[in-house]
Amino acid sequence: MTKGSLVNWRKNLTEVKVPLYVLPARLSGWYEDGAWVASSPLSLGELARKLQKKEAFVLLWELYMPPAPSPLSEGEVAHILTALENAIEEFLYSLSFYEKLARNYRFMFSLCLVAYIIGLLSVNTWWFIWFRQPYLALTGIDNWWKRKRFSCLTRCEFQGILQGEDEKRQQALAEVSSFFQSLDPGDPEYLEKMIAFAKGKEKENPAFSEIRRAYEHLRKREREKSYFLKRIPHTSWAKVKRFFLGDLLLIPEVFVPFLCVPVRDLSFTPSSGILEEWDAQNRALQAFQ
Amino acid sequence: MPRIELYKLFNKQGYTMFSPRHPFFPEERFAQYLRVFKGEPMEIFLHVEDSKKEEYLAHLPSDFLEVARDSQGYVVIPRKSPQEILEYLKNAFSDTFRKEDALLLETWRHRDFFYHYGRFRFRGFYGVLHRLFPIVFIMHGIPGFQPMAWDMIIGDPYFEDRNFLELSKHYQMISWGLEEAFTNVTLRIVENSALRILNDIVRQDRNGEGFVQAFRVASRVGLGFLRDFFWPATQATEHTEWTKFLRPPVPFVPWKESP
Repeated sequence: MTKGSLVNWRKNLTEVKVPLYVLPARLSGWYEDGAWVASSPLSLGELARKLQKKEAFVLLWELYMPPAPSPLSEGEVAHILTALENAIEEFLYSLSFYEKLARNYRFMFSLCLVAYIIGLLSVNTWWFIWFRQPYLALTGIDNWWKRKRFSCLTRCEFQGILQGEDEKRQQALAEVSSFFQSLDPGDPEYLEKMIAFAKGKEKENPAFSEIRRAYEHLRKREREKSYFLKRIPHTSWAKVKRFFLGDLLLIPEVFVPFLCVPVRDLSFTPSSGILEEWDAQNRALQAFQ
Repeated sequence: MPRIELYKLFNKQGYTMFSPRHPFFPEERFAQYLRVFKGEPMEIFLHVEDSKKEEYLAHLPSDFLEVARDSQGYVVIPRKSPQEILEYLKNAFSDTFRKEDALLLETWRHRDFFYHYGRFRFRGFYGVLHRLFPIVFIMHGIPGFQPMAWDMIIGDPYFEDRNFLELSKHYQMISWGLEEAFTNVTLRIVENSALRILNDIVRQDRNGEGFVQAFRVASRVGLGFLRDFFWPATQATEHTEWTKFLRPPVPFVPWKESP
């Protein structure tokens, strides 16, 4: 008998649908320069809060795309699902891995506490106990708190991705998309304008507020350093800190991932003249050197 | 369901596979293998520009086919059934992904063991002296130091050993998952239009600079991770726009090698 055949048929699975919007944007990272984004109005924390009471569930992402001559193909949609699932799973994995170590360190402090109480009762020079690693009491406490918040996500049985059917959302997304086309393509403040536009339309269609929140998550993600840069100690201060209180003593922070996946710019076609423009730039550059 | 993605890229000579997995942050892969260990099946998504299976099978290596002499000319005889070819592919994935990930897993396992194995145990002659060091406090005549000393002698090694056990159990589960992942794997072939755009650009190869242009477009079509493929490809095979930095090669020997 294989492991997969041990299915609990009495388990009550609920279906949770989360909208996911393909939003026109211009991402700025090295690996996502100029891409659009598939972003969810819920951050991972909000999603976890929503799922707190659920026993076991199936997570279905409802994908909404603006109308385009060539919509996202099967492989691109599958990539969005894989990227989201991998980000969430990696996050949960790191939390549980570091917690395994941190729990033992906190227990170490609890024994230290027993010694402290004995010392307090037996002699009047009790304060020496604080010479011994008092910071162990708080080792990995932030991860512990995060694990408490996000552990409901481990009850997810399956994740899938569907085409969204809600007409109001489609309509709102089409309006947002056409507003983006009217903006100047080099505008550095385009995210502010998109958010303001969605905010102005919230009264007439509640889907706009979802789109606004999705853009706000994107703005937060754009302002922060990238996930890998946050994890690598690349500044001198971070290097010093990592050297003295590094992974041996302090548990590294586990960062909450954003539910944003870079996708193809749906307005981009290779025949739009951009390649010729780059050729001309190259030739100019070569002549200049 | 744990998934590995593979992209079938055109590289001017033929096709090559690229998998967008980070080379030195292994958590993503380890999380997948842990899920396999817990009973979920592994899937490999092969992204191709055209989902027609014939097109995909046409670029297999030549030992799948046999060329024989006929009365009229040459004929091509397939040696293996499509089922056998798929089995062959599965074995190929197992040989590449599994090898690479087993190496990565061993590296990380030993790295963590190095940090945690017997961290508070000092072995050897000087180790004995170190272990007895708290006795200095005890014999000093202040009985209040005793609880701390015993905590250092008994408590710390105990909890650090538990850490070590936790780690070895954890990595054992992952390696079992890794073994299981490629015994029962599903291969799915999906069509990806962003990949088609990039492959077309490389195929077109304007001014002999197809890789540079694909490199520039890759992030815009949402496949930015392919920059890790296109950048070395353009540096190795094409003239870049930065001719300024080109240098004549340093001679290996100071005299002329051949007349």
